[in-house]
Amino acid sequence: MKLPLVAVRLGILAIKLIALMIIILSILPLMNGGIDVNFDTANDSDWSYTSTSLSLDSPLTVTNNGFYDINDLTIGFTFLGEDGEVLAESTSDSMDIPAGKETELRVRMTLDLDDLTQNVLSDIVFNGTRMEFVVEVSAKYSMDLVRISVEGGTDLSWQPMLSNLDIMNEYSRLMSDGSNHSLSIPYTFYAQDLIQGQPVMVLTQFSDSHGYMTNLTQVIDARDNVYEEAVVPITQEVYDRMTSGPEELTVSVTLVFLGCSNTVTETWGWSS
Amino acid sequence: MNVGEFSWKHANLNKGIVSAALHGVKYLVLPLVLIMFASTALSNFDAPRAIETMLLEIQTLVLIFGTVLLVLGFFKGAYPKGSYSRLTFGMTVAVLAIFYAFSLLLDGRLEEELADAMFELDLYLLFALYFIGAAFNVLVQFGEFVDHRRSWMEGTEHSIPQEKEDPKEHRWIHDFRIRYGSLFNGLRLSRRNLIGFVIIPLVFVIVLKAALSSIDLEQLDQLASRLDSVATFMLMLGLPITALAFFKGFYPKGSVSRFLPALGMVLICLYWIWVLGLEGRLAVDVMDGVVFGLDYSGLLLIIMCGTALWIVYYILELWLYRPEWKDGGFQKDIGKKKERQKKRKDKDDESAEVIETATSVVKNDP
Repeated sequence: MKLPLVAVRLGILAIKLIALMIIILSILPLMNGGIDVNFDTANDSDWSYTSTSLSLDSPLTVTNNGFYDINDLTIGFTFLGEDGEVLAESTSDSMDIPAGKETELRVRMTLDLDDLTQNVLSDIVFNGTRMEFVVEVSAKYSMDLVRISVEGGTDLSWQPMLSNLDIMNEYSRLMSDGSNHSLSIPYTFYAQDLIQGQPVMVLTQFSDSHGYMTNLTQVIDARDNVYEEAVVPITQEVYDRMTSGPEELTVSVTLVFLGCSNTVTETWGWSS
Repeated sequence: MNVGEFSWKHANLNKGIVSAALHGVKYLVLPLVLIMFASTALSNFDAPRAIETMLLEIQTLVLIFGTVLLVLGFFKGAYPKGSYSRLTFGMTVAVLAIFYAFSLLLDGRLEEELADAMFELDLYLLFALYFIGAAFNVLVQFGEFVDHRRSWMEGTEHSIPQEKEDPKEHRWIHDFRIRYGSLFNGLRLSRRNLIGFVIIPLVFVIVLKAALSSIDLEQLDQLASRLDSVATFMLMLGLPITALAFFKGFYPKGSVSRFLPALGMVLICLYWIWVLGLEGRLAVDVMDGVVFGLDYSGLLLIIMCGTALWIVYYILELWLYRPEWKDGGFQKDIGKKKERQKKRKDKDDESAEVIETATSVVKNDP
């Protein structure tokens, strides 16, 4: 056979052998468990809240005992609403995991609250909702010739941030300090750990059957079980009516958080 | 048919022994070694008694058919190419090999036992695929006979003188003349490609599908149905490759008639690799709602680049062999190159001798 033909044949053989070697060196470590992924359970990963986003920060240790670096590892998250609409998407920065090393990564997924519609945000804050949470992990391997991706979804039950708002009208009481009169209306609600210490605006509106109406605005730091009272000022006339006979009172308490509001209204008969 | 061609004076003992040895390895030694391995494996896995009995039956068949084929192989190899004697023994070997393979199915009992012990595998379908390849082998014997008949007949009263051709009158389109072709080379290459691109992949798909169907896993149904479409594609692409391979092998090196089918083969091969490689993407639903995806198109493209180099190879082959083929008088590509060169040298020496004798006669003439 002519020499140039032998050279081309050798070239073809070399390319095929290289491809074969890449395949073997890629598959063997995977079969022998050469890539190990550990979530750091010692440092509990949990949701955290900022004024514009909810995020989950989770430490991850990846041991790559394979022959090739794992490049451009990205972890993408998609939150889908109950009707399948995309609520939020987030993709981590790409990370590289060198071969023969143990690499610590921080996986951060963020739900940007500004991207959510008012209804969805309201459900997240006050009602709780079900979301589908889709994770896609993708990375390049074998000298970036192979891209591996794993996509999985799971249902996520989201508990409301603020719940169990209740006006405790049975404990309401009249207060008088000489010429200043007021009505104390206790209320209670529950706040998730996630927003502990965050300011929650409480608007209380009081009205009686004679058309008297007054408002009170409070800012309360969220905590586990909030038990507060709204002390609404009342006039002498209202005070007199309430002390002299039965009266029908209406109280609305509105919680405002992240631009969403939730109102509870109670009407009851007051007897002195 | 000339019965005289069966005369032992035409035979070559050494060639017969070599051929017998090759036939013995192929039809006797290799099957016996495989049976031995199978027996050892079965004894380790505590296999059913029926399978062991069947292996003994198969062993007997191998011994009988293998010995007969070895003897026939001796005669096939001993007689020269182009003779009726070699054609007769060659065809007998090719046909007997088909009966040999069919007898190993043990009238369907082997399939039944396999179904009980492992999984349902359609052995008759596998035999049908083998039959197609083996039928080609019968044709190859005929091709060899046709190709070498002229050289075998040379020097006898039945020999037909070869047409002389003026190289200056030869155009590239003339490369497609049938007389340049070797039926043996064409059929042999065609058979090799049929086995490589159609039969082996189909056998692989059939066995894999049978194995997958034995695993009761819903996720594998998708993969099994994809295998069906892959098998259809392999058939659709493998058959044109087989057809083109015939012409590539048929025509000699340095001819356009060989280059064009070769080019077509490479292009189809590239598409074949792309299809068989599932277009470089694989997505498997490994668990409920968890999808594992693999994009290996980069790797597949490297393999395809390697295969595409064959285009360079065939261009070079055309360029390098064309002058040689032209100088050789546009001969068909049969026999070994050294053999051809020796024949040509002998012929040249003979002509030179005749010229020399004629010259001396003229000189001595008063």
